[in-house]
Amino acid sequence: MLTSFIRVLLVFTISANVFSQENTITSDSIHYKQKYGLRVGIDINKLVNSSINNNYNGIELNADYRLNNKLYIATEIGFSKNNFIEDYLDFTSKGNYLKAGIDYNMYNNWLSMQNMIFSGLRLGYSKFDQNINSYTIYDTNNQTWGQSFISVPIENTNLSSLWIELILGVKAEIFNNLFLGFNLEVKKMINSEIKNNIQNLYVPGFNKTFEGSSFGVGFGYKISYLIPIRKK
Amino acid sequence: MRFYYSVYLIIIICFLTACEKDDICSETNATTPQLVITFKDANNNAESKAVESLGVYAVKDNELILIESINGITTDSIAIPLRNDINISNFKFYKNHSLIDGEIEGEQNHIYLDYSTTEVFVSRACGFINNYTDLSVFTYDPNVFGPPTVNWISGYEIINPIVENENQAHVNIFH
Repeated sequence: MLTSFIRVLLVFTISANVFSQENTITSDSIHYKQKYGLRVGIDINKLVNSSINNNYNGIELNADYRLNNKLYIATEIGFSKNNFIEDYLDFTSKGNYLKAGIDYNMYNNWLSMQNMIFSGLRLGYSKFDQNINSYTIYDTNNQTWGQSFISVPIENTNLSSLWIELILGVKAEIFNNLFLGFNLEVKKMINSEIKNNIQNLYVPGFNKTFEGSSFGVGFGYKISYLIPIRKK
Repeated sequence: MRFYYSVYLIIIICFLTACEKDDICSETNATTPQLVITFKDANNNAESKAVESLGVYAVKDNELILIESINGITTDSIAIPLRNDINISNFKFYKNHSLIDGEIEGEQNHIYLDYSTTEVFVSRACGFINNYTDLSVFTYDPNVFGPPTVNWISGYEIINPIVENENQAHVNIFH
């Protein structure tokens, strides 16, 4: 509850920053120089989640590099370890992922500001293990013999998944060169290798998979710092 | 423009609060199948023959556990659950079954089933179910020393040694 409250608050602060510059003056004759450079950052939601949630441990670093007025090349690299305890299943998904692609700024900035309302496209790849730690055989007729609980793990190692991702997000410069951003991610699995006929239930970077669907969702709260390289 | 931003914000908030889907294993999902037995006439193996007041008990650790749905019913087919923690199930089939002051009355016949189990992954919510293969049947208790005692069951026939669903009978029992 608290975390979602903080999330909503964050969204508002970000939006207030971006959206307060609505009255864009388009007929400005002076050319304001824009900063170009490498922006590096970290996902704060994953950082906070790792410290408060015993079943989750993860980190995601991100970087983007501005190519021109609108276009950035962008990448995220991350690690996550998740333990899920379901009714009949206890499993752990652990692995690394890399996403690479572009961000396109749809927002026309005022003066030399460099806030973003952007959409992005990524190709994501994850190498991970999904281990079934323990499970209870699902049997609706277990009144007679009792439930059968099995604690011999099933290890599925060296799995890999490939997906594409559409991103919609905002990034606001809260202090000089320091950015706070929020983004939503919609993912579509291209290829997901499975072992022992066990569906990949959670793929690091892709997040939770849904039964009978190749789509996934995600979001990020990112704080990043721009290392200016040149101005133009 | 402000309108679009509002819409955008609402979408974000909806996403944050509502996208966690609860995973519940519903009754419509595949479950571990039971063994389906049909009773046939010993004199005419093609003919179904109902057992009068059939009561079936599972034998676990020398204890008899009545299968609640088979507690003295007259029927020519039953479905019984197989034991999952070991690959053997023991049953006592009682004909003309009745319970009088906690005492089991009727003619009993031991059924011993031996099989291999295969775990099949179903889903995140339901986990795994068991399927059974290599089914074999004894109409007496092979662990009891001496010549087998067979009572009212005169024979059996395995129709399908693979138990994956309950759509068709796996074993015919003749009496």
